Amino acid sequence: MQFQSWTFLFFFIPVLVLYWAVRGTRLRIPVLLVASYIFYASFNVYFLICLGVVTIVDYLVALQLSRHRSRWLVCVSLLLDLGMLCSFKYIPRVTDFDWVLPVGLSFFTFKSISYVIDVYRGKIAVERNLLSYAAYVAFFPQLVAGPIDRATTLLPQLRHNVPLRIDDVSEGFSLFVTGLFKKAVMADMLAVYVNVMYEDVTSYSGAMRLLAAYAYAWQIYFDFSGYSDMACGIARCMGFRCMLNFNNPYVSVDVRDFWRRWHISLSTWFRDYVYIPMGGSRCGKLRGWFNVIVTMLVSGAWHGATWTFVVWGGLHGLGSVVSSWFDTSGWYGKIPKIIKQIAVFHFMTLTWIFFRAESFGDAFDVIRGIVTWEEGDFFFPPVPFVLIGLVWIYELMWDSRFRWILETRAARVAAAIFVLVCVLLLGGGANSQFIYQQF
Amino acid sequence: MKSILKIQHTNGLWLKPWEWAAVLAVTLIVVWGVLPWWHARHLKIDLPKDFRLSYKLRDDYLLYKSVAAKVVESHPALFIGDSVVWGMYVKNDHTLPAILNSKCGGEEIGNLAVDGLHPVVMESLMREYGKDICDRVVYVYLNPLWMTSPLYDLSGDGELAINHPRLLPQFSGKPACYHASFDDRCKAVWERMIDFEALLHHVRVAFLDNKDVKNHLAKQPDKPLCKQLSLNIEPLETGHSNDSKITWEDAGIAEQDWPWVPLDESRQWRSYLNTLKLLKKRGNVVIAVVGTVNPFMQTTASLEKYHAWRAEALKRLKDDGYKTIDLPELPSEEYGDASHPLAAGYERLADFMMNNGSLHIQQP
Repeated sequence: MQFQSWTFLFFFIPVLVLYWAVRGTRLRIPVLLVASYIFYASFNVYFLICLGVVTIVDYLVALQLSRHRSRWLVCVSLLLDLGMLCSFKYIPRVTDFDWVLPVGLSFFTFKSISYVIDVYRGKIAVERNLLSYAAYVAFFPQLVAGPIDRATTLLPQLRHNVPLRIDDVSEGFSLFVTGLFKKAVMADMLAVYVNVMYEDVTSYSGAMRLLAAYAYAWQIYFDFSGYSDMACGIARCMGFRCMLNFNNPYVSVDVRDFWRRWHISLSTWFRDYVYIPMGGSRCGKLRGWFNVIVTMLVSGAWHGATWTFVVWGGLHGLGSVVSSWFDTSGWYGKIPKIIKQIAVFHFMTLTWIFFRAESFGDAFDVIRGIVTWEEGDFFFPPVPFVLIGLVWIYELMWDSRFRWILETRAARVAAAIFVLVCVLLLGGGANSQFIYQQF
Repeated sequence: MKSILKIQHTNGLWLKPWEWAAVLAVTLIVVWGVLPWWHARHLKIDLPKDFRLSYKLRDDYLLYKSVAAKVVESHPALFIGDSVVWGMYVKNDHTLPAILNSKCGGEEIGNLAVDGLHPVVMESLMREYGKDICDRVVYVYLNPLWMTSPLYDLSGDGELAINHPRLLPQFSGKPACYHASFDDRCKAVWERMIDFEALLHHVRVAFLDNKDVKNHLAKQPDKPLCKQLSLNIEPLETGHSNDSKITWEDAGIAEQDWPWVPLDESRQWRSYLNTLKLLKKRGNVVIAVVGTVNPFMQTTASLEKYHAWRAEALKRLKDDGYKTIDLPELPSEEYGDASHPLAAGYERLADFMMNNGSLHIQQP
């Protein structure tokens, strides 16, 4: 059940009406929980087993932790969650045994892990109501591909009856329409171009490979941030505020800045539960850099059991280290912001080549073709790239002192009409899966 | 809680409820309402002699609607049916309506047949897109082939590639053998409700090689969209110009033993009657043309059932007060397959209609 499908519409509207009807009563959480389980079962009813096991075990562990603070209990939870995650992700890769990875497994296990660790660290009070905790883990807008909202922000909204205003619906609608535009128009259109090139890399010229690399950088951004926007929009219509997951990442001025803007819920998760426990930057510069690289390698391996993802993570780790080294030098600060932004975008584009390619061979073919400017087939679709240009200019303006122009009513209304018309004209066709659902 | 409720924005697409209401109203009125209206108003359709709808555009129902309106303006009589009337194995000038026109000496009968149009979808096509077909003489062809088995009749369950699935009942009354996803069924209903969706389909099949606009923009930069689109449509079939001489025996079609679905249980028959009723209600003189199925490729048992079935169908149509044309069986060598005549077969059928006084052109 994809967000941009009719099936979801027919699921969500009754859920929304019912949720609004019971919002002031004790039925609020059960309604949300049942809706979330129905949503998840629509992918495969057996996936509910994983969701149920993670929920119940971590709920009990956290309850026990509130009485007796034990590192062993945390280990039990981690062993179960990470064991399940690794089994589903990596066993099919290294053995002949094949099974289907439950959709969104990473996302809800990460939510659950963060809750257990936060209870252990005393950052959050234990949730004694099983239904509330289950609703937190299974919260359907975020269940399949995040954002990985922490218990510190989502659980209080579940515990307390969050006020619901008509403005929430319009703001939720704004988010949803933005996400729909990103996914159904931009990401799906760019995917056509990108897939053509990646299906037969060596047939295409260096120029085409470069354009496809650019296109993929934007495709994955539109795809994933589109999902996040839709998820947050859906949650917002029910009165919930989700954390910001993407903050115009392609206006970043260095790699660390990029990770403060890209998949923020995951990068902060890795920061809080991998990087900081390893010592973070507290143990000296070299150790700090080492920790960054290890964290990024883990992040890469989390995406999939192939070395291309590990290389992708490693490049980001190196990029982050180089960024912090640049920060200590005076000359980097003197470079105009737009030059830094363009340079960072190109570095990201390079790393996405490894992320997208099926194998190292393909990735190197793409890079070799670009570097040696190989001859081959070439075509350039102007419309998708013009749209990318418009979005990029919009984001650069949003990040500049000209932001006020975009905040005027005329600009907002014009943007909304433009987005709606694009969705109506170009948003049809098959409902493709979101890239991050596979992780 | 206050800090949680605070939210950051990464773009300016934040509108107040009344602003969204205004934006939605204006956009939807323009895109859903004005655009299809403007298109219908400015679409230029050329209907040359012996026209028939293009095979490629057979599921372009919005175009069908416009063509039907145009045909109704210029023709006192129309022929509706499936590929038998459309003329599967013959050139444009050898279809049944074309031969009848040449024998009458004018363009009197418009060919509004569509390949694969079985009665269940014919009913939807007439209901949704054939509203302009009023006050004319309408020949409605019944191809018994659709009722040879419960599966073809759509009253049975099983795997079947159904023609024109978007015209089928999608929810209430959905055939058991129709297995489209919930999403696809919603899209089909939506297309019938919103002409703009049908317009997008029209653009796709008429100008973009069945690719959606998004795919075209990403894959075909050498064919700019603005140059691809046109308001001039020639719905004449051009790519199907071979007169086939291959008979069903040459094609090696084996003898068949069909169960034949009794009329009382037949879904296709029910829809055929509904279509007749609907057209009659719109002021048309409706003539039921009962076709034949190749008798030479049926077993004796199948043939007996077929003859009984056909006699019963004709009787019921007459009992219901419809004028009927009982088309004769053709010689074996004039069948291209189970139901499609070859050119000589169409000549024979046209002669039959001309000579037995069953042809009516003008409303009484």
